[in-house]
Amino acid sequence: MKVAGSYTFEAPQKTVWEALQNPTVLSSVLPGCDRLEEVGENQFEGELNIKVGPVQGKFKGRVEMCDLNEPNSFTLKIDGQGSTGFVKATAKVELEGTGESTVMNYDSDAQVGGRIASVGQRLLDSSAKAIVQQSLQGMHELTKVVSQSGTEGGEASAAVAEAAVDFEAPTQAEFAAKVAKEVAKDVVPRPLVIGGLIIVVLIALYLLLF
Amino acid sequence: MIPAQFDYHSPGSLEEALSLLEQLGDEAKILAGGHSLIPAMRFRLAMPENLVDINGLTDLDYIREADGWLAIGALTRESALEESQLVQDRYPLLADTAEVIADPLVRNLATVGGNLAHADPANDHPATMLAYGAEIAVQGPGGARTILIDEFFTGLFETSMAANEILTEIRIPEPGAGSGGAYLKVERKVGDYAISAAAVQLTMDGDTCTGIRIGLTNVSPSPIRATEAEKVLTGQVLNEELIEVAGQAASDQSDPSPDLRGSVEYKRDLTRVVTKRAIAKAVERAKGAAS
Repeated sequence: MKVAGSYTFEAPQKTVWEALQNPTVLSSVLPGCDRLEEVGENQFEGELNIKVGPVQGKFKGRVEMCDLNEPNSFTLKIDGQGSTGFVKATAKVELEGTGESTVMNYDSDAQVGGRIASVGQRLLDSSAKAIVQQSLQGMHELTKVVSQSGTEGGEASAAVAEAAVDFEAPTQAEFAAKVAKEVAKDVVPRPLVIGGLIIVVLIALYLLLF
Repeated sequence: MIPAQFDYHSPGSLEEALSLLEQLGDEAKILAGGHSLIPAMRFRLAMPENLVDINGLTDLDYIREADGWLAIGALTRESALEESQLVQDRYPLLADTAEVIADPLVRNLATVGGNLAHADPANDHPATMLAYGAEIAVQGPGGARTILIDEFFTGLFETSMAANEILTEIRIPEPGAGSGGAYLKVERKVGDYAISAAAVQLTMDGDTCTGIRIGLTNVSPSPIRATEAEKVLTGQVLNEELIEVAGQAASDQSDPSPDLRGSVEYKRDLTRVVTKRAIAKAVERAKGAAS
Protein backbone atom coordinates (compact mmCIF):
# COMPACT_ATOMS: atom_id res chain seq x y z
CA MET A 1 0.00 0.00 0.00
CA LYS A 2 0.96 3.59 -0.48
CA VAL A 3 1.19 6.16 2.29
CA ALA A 4 2.02 9.60 0.99
CA GLY A 5 1.34 13.18 1.88
CA SER A 6 2.63 16.58 2.83
CA TYR A 7 2.86 18.45 6.05
CA THR A 8 3.76 22.08 6.60
CA PHE A 9 5.89 23.04 9.59
CA GLU A 10 6.00 26.65 10.78
CA ALA A 11 9.73 26.47 11.21
CA PRO A 12 12.75 26.99 8.95
CA GLN A 13 14.12 24.00 7.06
CA LYS A 14 17.25 23.67 9.17
CA THR A 15 15.19 23.44 12.36
CA VAL A 16 12.94 20.79 10.87
CA TRP A 17 15.96 18.80 9.65
CA GLU A 18 17.55 18.99 13.10
CA ALA A 19 14.31 17.81 14.66
CA LEU A 20 14.11 14.93 12.22
CA GLN A 21 17.59 13.88 13.28
CA ASN A 22 17.04 14.03 17.00
CA PRO A 23 16.07 10.75 18.70
CA THR A 24 14.87 12.61 21.79
CA VAL A 25 12.34 14.49 19.69
CA LEU A 26 11.32 11.25 18.11
CA SER A 27 10.53 9.48 21.33
CA SER A 28 8.59 12.51 22.52
CA VAL A 29 6.30 12.67 19.55
CA LEU A 30 5.93 9.04 18.59
CA PRO A 31 3.25 7.12 20.39
CA GLY A 32 4.45 4.29 22.62
CA CYS A 33 8.14 4.48 21.71
CA ASP A 34 9.80 2.22 24.28
CA ARG A 35 13.27 1.72 22.93
CA LEU A 36 15.65 3.01 20.32
CA GLU A 37 19.13 1.61 19.64
CA GLU A 38 21.81 1.90 17.04
CA VAL A 39 22.70 -1.54 15.76
CA GLY A 40 24.93 -0.64 12.84
CA GLU A 41 26.03 2.13 10.53
CA ASN A 42 22.88 4.20 9.85
CA GLN A 43 20.83 1.29 11.14
CA PHE A 44 18.46 1.51 14.05
CA GLU A 45 16.19 -0.77 15.91
CA GLY A 46 13.18 0.39 17.86
CA GLU A 47 10.33 -0.99 19.86
CA LEU A 48 6.90 0.54 19.93
CA ASN A 49 3.93 -0.18 22.12
CA ILE A 50 0.84 1.19 20.46
CA LYS A 51 -2.80 1.31 21.45
CA VAL A 52 -5.60 2.19 19.03
CA GLY A 53 -9.12 1.71 20.30
CA PRO A 54 -9.25 -1.73 21.91
CA VAL A 55 -6.25 -2.97 19.94
CA GLN A 56 -2.81 -2.89 21.50
CA GLY A 57 0.48 -4.46 20.67
CA LYS A 58 4.25 -4.43 20.59
CA PHE A 59 6.19 -4.06 17.46
CA LYS A 60 9.90 -4.31 16.64
CA GLY A 61 11.25 -2.44 13.67
CA ARG A 62 14.60 -2.05 11.98
CA VAL A 63 15.20 1.08 10.01
CA GLU A 64 18.02 1.89 7.63
CA MET A 65 18.71 5.43 6.52
CA CYS A 66 20.22 6.00 3.14
CA ASP A 67 20.61 8.56 0.35
CA LEU A 68 21.19 11.28 2.91
CA ASN A 69 21.14 14.72 1.39
CA GLU A 70 21.31 17.18 4.26
CA PRO A 71 19.17 19.23 4.80
CA ASN A 72 16.89 18.23 1.93
CA SER A 73 16.02 14.57 1.75
CA PHE A 74 16.65 10.98 2.74
CA THR A 75 15.29 7.50 2.11
CA LEU A 76 14.30 4.92 4.66
CA LYS A 77 14.18 1.18 4.38
CA ILE A 78 11.98 -0.42 6.99
CA ASP A 79 11.67 -4.01 8.09
CA GLY A 80 9.19 -4.62 10.85
CA GLN A 81 7.80 -7.57 12.73
CA GLY A 82 5.24 -8.15 15.42
CA SER A 83 3.26 -11.13 16.63
CA THR A 84 0.48 -10.14 14.27
CA GLY A 85 2.32 -9.76 11.01
CA PHE A 86 5.17 -8.15 9.14
CA VAL A 87 5.87 -5.20 6.93
CA LYS A 88 8.54 -4.11 4.50
CA ALA A 89 8.55 -0.54 3.30
CA THR A 90 10.58 2.11 1.56
CA ALA A 91 9.92 5.76 2.27
CA LYS A 92 11.25 8.96 0.71
CA VAL A 93 11.22 12.11 2.81
CA GLU A 94 11.83 15.53 1.26
CA LEU A 95 11.96 18.96 2.83
CA GLU A 96 11.26 22.21 0.99
CA GLY A 97 11.84 25.26 3.11
CA THR A 98 10.82 28.80 2.29
CA GLY A 99 11.88 31.22 4.97
CA GLU A 100 9.97 30.57 8.16
CA SER A 101 8.08 27.50 6.98
CA THR A 102 8.95 24.09 5.59
CA VAL A 103 6.93 21.62 3.61
CA MET A 104 7.75 17.97 4.25
CA ASN A 105 6.74 15.57 1.51
CA TYR A 106 6.69 11.86 2.33
CA ASP A 107 6.05 9.01 -0.02
CA SER A 108 6.22 5.39 1.02
CA ASP A 109 5.43 2.01 -0.44
CA ALA A 110 4.68 -0.76 2.00
CA GLN A 111 3.98 -4.48 1.82
CA VAL A 112 2.02 -5.75 4.77
CA GLY A 113 1.46 -9.40 5.52
CA GLY A 114 0.22 -11.71 8.21
CA ARG A 115 -2.85 -11.64 10.42
CA ILE A 116 -3.16 -7.88 10.52
CA ALA A 117 -3.22 -7.63 6.76
CA SER A 118 -6.11 -10.03 6.46
CA VAL A 119 -8.16 -9.17 9.56
CA GLY A 120 -7.34 -5.49 9.67
CA GLN A 121 -7.26 -4.57 6.01
CA ARG A 122 -10.13 -2.13 6.14
CA LEU A 123 -8.45 0.05 8.75
CA LEU A 124 -4.82 -0.02 7.62
CA ASP A 125 -5.10 3.09 5.52
CA SER A 126 -6.97 5.31 7.98
CA SER A 127 -4.91 4.12 10.95
CA ALA A 128 -1.67 4.82 9.13
CA LYS A 129 -2.81 8.29 8.12
CA ALA A 130 -4.04 9.09 11.62
CA ILE A 131 -0.85 8.11 13.37
CA VAL A 132 1.35 9.90 10.86
CA GLN A 133 -0.78 13.02 11.40
CA GLN A 134 -0.53 12.72 15.16
CA SER A 135 3.24 12.31 15.06
CA LEU A 136 3.65 15.22 12.66
CA GLN A 137 1.42 17.43 14.77
CA GLY A 138 3.49 16.60 17.82
CA MET A 139 6.64 17.43 15.93
CA HIS A 140 5.09 20.60 14.57
CA GLU A 141 4.32 21.88 18.06
CA LEU A 142 7.85 21.17 19.10
CA THR A 143 9.54 22.78 16.09
CA LYS A 144 7.28 25.82 16.50
CA VAL A 145 8.49 26.21 20.07
CA VAL A 146 12.08 26.07 18.88
CA SER A 147 11.66 28.38 15.93
CA GLN A 148 9.72 30.94 17.97
CA SER A 149 12.54 31.02 20.47
CA GLY A 150 14.59 32.40 17.61
CA THR A 151 17.52 30.01 17.59
CA GLU A 152 19.20 29.06 14.36
CA GLY A 153 21.85 26.79 12.94
CA GLY A 154 23.87 24.77 15.43
CA GLU A 155 21.94 26.31 18.28
CA ALA A 156 18.75 24.91 16.77
CA SER A 157 19.95 21.39 17.45
CA ALA A 158 20.55 22.08 21.11
CA ALA A 159 17.31 24.02 21.39
CA VAL A 160 15.37 21.17 19.84
CA ALA A 161 16.95 18.70 22.24
CA GLU A 162 16.10 20.91 25.19
CA ALA A 163 12.53 21.48 24.07
CA ALA A 164 12.10 17.76 23.51
CA VAL A 165 12.97 16.81 27.06
CA ASP A 166 10.07 18.73 28.58
CA PHE A 167 7.82 18.34 25.62
CA GLU A 168 4.52 16.60 25.85
CA ALA A 169 2.83 15.96 22.55
CA PRO A 170 -0.57 17.60 22.26
CA THR A 171 -3.27 15.09 23.03
CA GLN A 172 -4.88 15.21 19.69
CA ALA A 173 -7.52 12.62 20.12
CA GLU A 174 -7.07 11.51 16.56
CA PHE A 175 -7.01 8.11 18.07
CA ALA A 176 -6.05 6.31 21.24
CA ALA A 177 -2.33 6.02 20.63
CA LYS A 178 -0.58 6.48 23.92
CA VAL A 179 2.39 8.75 23.81
CA ALA A 180 5.38 7.46 25.70
CA LYS A 181 5.76 9.37 28.93
CA GLU A 182 9.45 8.93 29.32
CA VAL A 183 11.85 10.39 26.90
CA ALA A 184 14.34 7.80 25.77
CA LYS A 185 17.46 8.89 27.54
CA ASP A 186 20.02 6.37 26.38
CA VAL A 187 19.70 7.14 22.78
CA VAL A 188 22.10 6.96 19.96
CA PRO A 189 24.34 9.96 19.61
CA ARG A 190 23.86 9.56 15.92
CA PRO A 191 20.92 11.35 14.43
CA LEU A 192 18.76 10.57 11.43
CA VAL A 193 16.07 8.55 13.02
CA ILE A 194 12.92 10.57 13.39
CA GLY A 195 11.67 10.32 9.88
CA GLY A 196 12.37 6.62 9.95
CA LEU A 197 10.55 6.10 13.16
CA ILE A 198 7.53 8.04 12.04
CA ILE A 199 7.32 5.45 9.36
CA VAL A 200 8.07 2.72 11.89
CA VAL A 201 5.14 3.91 13.94
CA LEU A 202 3.09 3.86 10.81
CA ILE A 203 4.17 0.30 10.26
CA ALA A 204 3.49 -0.59 13.87
CA LEU A 205 0.02 0.62 13.24
CA TYR A 206 -0.31 -1.62 10.24
CA LEU A 207 0.76 -4.53 12.34
CA LEU A 208 -1.40 -3.89 15.29
CA LEU A 209 -4.73 -2.73 14.09
CA PHE A 210 -7.82 -3.66 12.38
CA MET B 1 -7.13 -18.48 18.13
CA ILE B 2 -8.62 -17.98 21.55
CA PRO B 3 -8.35 -14.80 23.60
CA ALA B 4 -5.33 -14.17 25.77
CA GLN B 5 -5.82 -14.67 29.48
CA PHE B 6 -7.98 -12.12 31.29
CA ASP B 7 -9.82 -11.61 34.57
CA TYR B 8 -13.60 -11.44 34.41
CA HIS B 9 -15.78 -9.18 36.53
CA SER B 10 -19.56 -9.05 36.60
CA PRO B 11 -20.77 -6.02 38.55
CA GLY B 12 -24.40 -5.95 39.68
CA SER B 13 -24.81 -2.19 39.58
CA LEU B 14 -23.59 0.84 37.67
CA GLU B 15 -21.78 2.10 40.77
CA GLU B 16 -19.95 -1.20 41.09
CA ALA B 17 -19.03 -1.11 37.40
CA LEU B 18 -17.70 2.44 37.73
CA SER B 19 -15.65 1.60 40.78
CA LEU B 20 -14.18 -1.42 38.99
CA LEU B 21 -13.16 0.81 36.09
CA GLU B 22 -11.50 3.25 38.49
CA GLN B 23 -9.66 0.43 40.21
CA LEU B 24 -8.50 -1.42 37.11
CA GLY B 25 -7.72 1.64 34.98
CA ASP B 26 -6.18 1.08 31.57
CA GLU B 27 -6.24 -2.66 31.75
CA ALA B 28 -10.03 -2.96 31.75
CA LYS B 29 -12.56 -3.02 28.91
CA ILE B 30 -16.31 -2.91 29.21
CA LEU B 31 -18.09 -5.94 27.79
CA ALA B 32 -21.65 -5.39 26.57
CA GLY B 33 -22.76 -7.18 23.40
CA GLY B 34 -19.13 -8.06 22.77
CA HIS B 35 -19.45 -8.34 19.00
CA SER B 36 -16.70 -5.84 18.28
CA LEU B 37 -14.52 -6.61 21.28
CA ILE B 38 -14.54 -10.39 21.36
CA PRO B 39 -13.54 -10.92 17.71
CA ALA B 40 -10.61 -8.56 18.35
CA MET B 41 -9.71 -10.57 21.45
CA ARG B 42 -9.98 -13.87 19.61
CA PHE B 43 -7.46 -12.66 17.08
CA ARG B 44 -5.36 -11.38 19.97
CA LEU B 45 -5.39 -7.92 18.48
CA ALA B 46 -6.97 -6.69 21.70
CA MET B 47 -5.73 -8.18 24.96
CA PRO B 48 -7.37 -6.40 27.89
CA GLU B 49 -6.34 -7.87 31.20
CA ASN B 50 -9.81 -7.37 32.65
CA LEU B 51 -13.30 -7.55 31.25
CA VAL B 52 -16.06 -5.71 33.10
CA ASP B 53 -19.25 -7.41 31.97
CA ILE B 54 -22.14 -4.95 32.22
CA ASN B 55 -24.82 -7.28 30.85
CA GLY B 56 -26.11 -7.57 34.41
CA LEU B 57 -27.08 -3.88 34.45
CA THR B 58 -30.54 -4.63 33.06
CA ASP B 59 -31.80 -1.22 34.25
CA LEU B 60 -30.01 0.20 31.23
CA ASP B 61 -32.18 -1.72 28.77
CA TYR B 62 -35.22 0.38 27.84
CA ILE B 63 -36.89 2.38 25.08
CA ARG B 64 -39.26 5.13 26.21
CA GLU B 65 -40.58 8.48 25.10
CA ALA B 66 -40.83 11.27 27.67
CA ASP B 67 -40.59 15.06 27.84
CA GLY B 68 -40.00 15.48 24.12
CA TRP B 69 -37.25 12.89 23.87
CA LEU B 70 -36.87 9.24 22.93
CA ALA B 71 -34.64 7.77 25.61
CA ILE B 72 -32.78 4.57 24.80
CA GLY B 73 -30.84 2.80 27.51
CA ALA B 74 -27.25 2.02 26.54
CA LEU B 75 -27.73 -1.71 27.00
CA THR B 76 -30.71 -1.86 24.61
CA ARG B 77 -30.13 -4.61 22.04
CA GLU B 78 -30.40 -3.76 18.35
CA SER B 79 -33.12 -6.38 17.97
CA ALA B 80 -35.21 -4.51 20.56
CA LEU B 81 -35.18 -1.46 18.26
CA GLU B 82 -36.40 -3.67 15.42
CA GLU B 83 -39.19 -5.07 17.57
CA SER B 84 -40.30 -1.76 19.07
CA GLN B 85 -43.55 -0.49 17.54
CA LEU B 86 -42.73 2.99 18.85
CA VAL B 87 -39.45 3.07 16.93
CA GLN B 88 -40.96 1.59 13.76
CA ASP B 89 -43.82 4.11 13.75
CA ARG B 90 -42.19 7.36 14.88
CA TYR B 91 -38.45 7.02 14.25
CA PRO B 92 -38.08 5.56 10.74
CA LEU B 93 -34.43 6.62 10.45
CA LEU B 94 -33.61 4.62 13.58
CA ALA B 95 -35.73 1.69 12.39
CA ASP B 96 -33.91 1.69 9.01
CA THR B 97 -30.55 1.69 10.79
CA ALA B 98 -31.25 -1.08 13.28
CA GLU B 99 -32.30 -3.42 10.43
CA VAL B 100 -28.99 -3.22 8.60
CA ILE B 101 -26.56 -3.58 11.47
CA ALA B 102 -24.71 -6.86 10.89
CA ASP B 103 -27.01 -9.88 11.02
CA PRO B 104 -29.81 -11.11 13.33
CA LEU B 105 -27.48 -13.15 15.54
CA VAL B 106 -25.34 -10.10 16.20
CA ARG B 107 -28.36 -7.85 16.66
CA ASN B 108 -29.69 -10.07 19.45
CA LEU B 109 -26.67 -9.17 21.55
CA ALA B 110 -25.16 -5.97 20.16
CA THR B 111 -26.13 -2.85 22.08
CA VAL B 112 -26.82 0.72 20.93
CA GLY B 113 -24.45 2.05 23.61
CA GLY B 114 -21.68 -0.25 22.48
CA ASN B 115 -22.13 0.68 18.83
CA LEU B 116 -21.56 4.35 19.74
CA ALA B 117 -18.89 3.96 22.43
CA HIS B 118 -16.71 1.70 20.25
CA ALA B 119 -16.62 4.51 17.66
CA ASP B 120 -15.66 2.32 14.73
CA PRO B 121 -16.08 4.52 11.64
CA ALA B 122 -17.89 1.62 9.99
CA ASN B 123 -20.61 1.42 12.65
CA ASP B 124 -24.08 2.54 11.61
CA HIS B 125 -25.55 4.28 14.64
CA PRO B 126 -23.04 7.17 14.71
CA ALA B 127 -24.29 8.62 11.40
CA THR B 128 -27.90 8.16 12.50
CA MET B 129 -27.36 9.88 15.85
CA LEU B 130 -25.57 12.72 14.04
CA ALA B 131 -28.59 13.07 11.77
CA TYR B 132 -30.95 13.10 14.75
CA GLY B 133 -28.88 15.59 16.74
CA ALA B 134 -28.91 13.16 19.64
CA GLU B 135 -27.46 13.60 23.12
CA ILE B 136 -25.35 11.02 24.90
CA ALA B 137 -25.57 10.60 28.66
CA VAL B 138 -22.51 9.18 30.37
CA GLN B 139 -21.68 8.48 33.98
CA GLY B 140 -18.28 8.70 35.63
CA PRO B 141 -16.84 8.76 39.13
CA GLY B 142 -17.55 12.48 39.21
CA GLY B 143 -21.21 12.06 38.32
CA ALA B 144 -23.37 12.19 35.22
CA ARG B 145 -22.93 14.44 32.21
CA THR B 146 -24.43 14.91 28.77
CA ILE B 147 -22.39 15.07 25.58
CA LEU B 148 -23.88 16.58 22.43
CA ILE B 149 -23.51 14.21 19.49
CA ASP B 150 -21.61 16.82 17.44
CA GLU B 151 -18.92 16.73 20.11
CA PHE B 152 -18.97 13.00 20.76
CA PHE B 153 -16.85 11.48 17.97
CA THR B 154 -13.31 12.79 18.05
CA GLY B 155 -11.28 10.40 15.90
CA LEU B 156 -10.62 6.83 14.86
CA PHE B 157 -12.08 4.71 17.69
CA GLU B 158 -12.08 7.82 19.87
CA THR B 159 -14.91 9.56 21.68
CA SER B 160 -14.97 12.43 24.13
CA MET B 161 -15.85 9.99 26.90
CA ALA B 162 -13.17 9.56 29.53
CA ALA B 163 -11.68 6.09 30.07
CA ASN B 164 -13.47 5.79 33.43
CA GLU B 165 -16.92 6.75 32.11
CA ILE B 166 -19.76 4.49 31.05
CA LEU B 167 -22.33 5.43 28.41
CA THR B 168 -25.74 5.13 30.03
CA GLU B 169 -28.37 6.63 27.72
CA ILE B 170 -28.98 7.96 24.23
CA ARG B 171 -31.60 10.68 23.78
CA ILE B 172 -33.18 11.55 20.45
CA PRO B 173 -35.36 14.66 20.18
CA GLU B 174 -38.95 13.80 19.30
CA PRO B 175 -39.53 14.63 15.63
CA GLY B 176 -41.98 17.45 14.98
CA ALA B 177 -44.67 17.77 12.35
CA GLY B 178 -43.50 17.43 8.76
CA SER B 179 -40.34 15.52 9.68
CA GLY B 180 -38.98 12.46 7.97
CA GLY B 181 -35.83 10.41 7.96
CA ALA B 182 -34.11 7.54 6.19
CA TYR B 183 -30.93 5.48 6.35
CA LEU B 184 -29.55 4.06 3.14
CA LYS B 185 -26.66 1.63 3.27
CA VAL B 186 -24.91 -0.16 0.42
CA GLU B 187 -23.02 -3.29 1.42
CA ARG B 188 -21.32 -6.06 -0.51
CA LYS B 189 -23.38 -8.71 1.18
CA VAL B 190 -26.00 -8.92 3.91
CA GLY B 191 -24.52 -8.19 7.31
CA ASP B 192 -21.41 -6.43 6.04
CA TYR B 193 -20.10 -3.00 6.98
CA ALA B 194 -21.17 -0.21 4.64
CA ILE B 195 -19.25 0.63 1.51
CA SER B 196 -21.01 3.94 2.09
CA ALA B 197 -24.20 4.90 3.90
CA ALA B 198 -26.14 8.09 4.56
CA ALA B 199 -28.51 8.97 7.42
CA VAL B 200 -30.89 11.85 6.78
CA GLN B 201 -33.34 13.53 9.14
CA LEU B 202 -35.24 16.59 7.87
CA THR B 203 -38.36 18.69 8.31
CA MET B 204 -40.45 19.94 5.41
CA ASP B 205 -42.91 22.81 5.14
CA GLY B 206 -44.71 22.00 1.91
CA ASP B 207 -41.87 21.71 -0.60
CA THR B 208 -39.43 23.74 1.45
CA CYS B 209 -36.86 22.06 3.63
CA THR B 210 -36.82 23.91 6.94
CA GLY B 211 -34.10 21.84 8.55
CA ILE B 212 -31.85 18.94 7.66
CA ARG B 213 -29.02 16.91 9.18
CA ILE B 214 -27.04 14.30 7.25
CA GLY B 215 -24.64 11.73 8.74
CA LEU B 216 -22.25 9.59 6.68
CA THR B 217 -20.99 6.09 7.52
CA ASN B 218 -17.59 4.60 6.77
CA VAL B 219 -16.33 7.31 4.45
CA SER B 220 -14.08 9.14 6.91
CA PRO B 221 -11.82 8.20 9.83
CA SER B 222 -14.57 9.17 12.21
CA PRO B 223 -18.30 9.69 11.55
CA ILE B 224 -19.11 13.05 9.97
CA ARG B 225 -22.04 15.25 9.12
CA ALA B 226 -22.31 16.28 5.50
CA THR B 227 -22.59 19.93 6.53
CA GLU B 228 -21.98 21.27 3.03
CA ALA B 229 -24.85 19.22 1.68
CA GLU B 230 -27.02 20.44 4.57
CA LYS B 231 -26.26 24.06 3.62
CA VAL B 232 -27.30 23.45 0.02
CA LEU B 233 -30.76 22.36 1.10
CA THR B 234 -31.67 24.27 4.25
CA GLY B 235 -34.45 26.79 3.65
CA GLN B 236 -34.73 25.81 -0.02
CA VAL B 237 -37.51 24.41 -2.14
CA LEU B 238 -36.37 20.87 -2.87
CA ASN B 239 -36.20 19.48 -6.37
CA GLU B 240 -34.19 16.79 -8.11
CA GLU B 241 -31.45 19.15 -9.32
CA LEU B 242 -30.87 20.60 -5.87
CA ILE B 243 -30.75 17.16 -4.28
CA GLU B 244 -28.14 16.15 -6.87
CA VAL B 245 -26.05 19.17 -5.86
CA ALA B 246 -26.38 18.14 -2.22
CA GLY B 247 -25.32 14.59 -3.08
CA GLN B 248 -22.23 15.93 -4.83
CA ALA B 249 -21.45 18.15 -1.84
CA ALA B 250 -21.62 15.15 0.49
CA SER B 251 -19.35 13.23 -1.84
CA ASP B 252 -16.81 16.07 -1.91
CA GLN B 253 -16.82 16.36 1.86
CA SER B 254 -16.26 12.64 2.41
CA ASP B 255 -12.75 11.29 2.94
CA PRO B 256 -12.94 7.53 2.30
CA SER B 257 -9.94 5.22 2.53
CA PRO B 258 -9.38 2.69 -0.25
CA ASP B 259 -9.75 -0.91 0.92
CA LEU B 260 -11.32 -4.24 0.06
CA ARG B 261 -14.71 -2.53 -0.20
CA GLY B 262 -13.70 -0.12 -2.91
CA SER B 263 -11.48 2.62 -4.23
CA VAL B 264 -11.66 6.24 -3.12
CA GLU B 265 -13.42 7.24 -6.36
CA TYR B 266 -15.98 4.49 -6.09
CA LYS B 267 -16.79 5.20 -2.44
CA ARG B 268 -17.05 8.93 -3.15
CA ASP B 269 -19.49 8.42 -5.98
CA LEU B 270 -21.47 5.91 -3.97
CA THR B 271 -21.72 8.52 -1.20
CA ARG B 272 -23.24 10.93 -3.71
CA VAL B 273 -25.84 8.36 -4.67
CA VAL B 274 -26.80 7.13 -1.18
CA THR B 275 -27.06 10.70 0.08
CA LYS B 276 -29.37 11.67 -2.78
CA ARG B 277 -31.56 8.62 -2.35
CA ALA B 278 -31.73 8.93 1.44
CA ILE B 279 -32.77 12.59 1.08
CA ALA B 280 -35.47 11.67 -1.43
CA LYS B 281 -36.82 8.95 0.85
CA ALA B 282 -36.79 11.24 3.87
CA VAL B 283 -38.71 13.89 1.92
CA GLU B 284 -41.28 11.30 0.85
CA ARG B 285 -41.76 10.20 4.45
CA ALA B 286 -41.95 13.80 5.68
CA LYS B 287 -44.67 14.61 3.17
CA GLY B 288 -46.48 11.40 4.11
CA ALA B 289 -46.35 12.34 7.78
CA ALA B 290 -47.68 15.82 7.11
CA SER B 291 -50.74 14.67 5.27
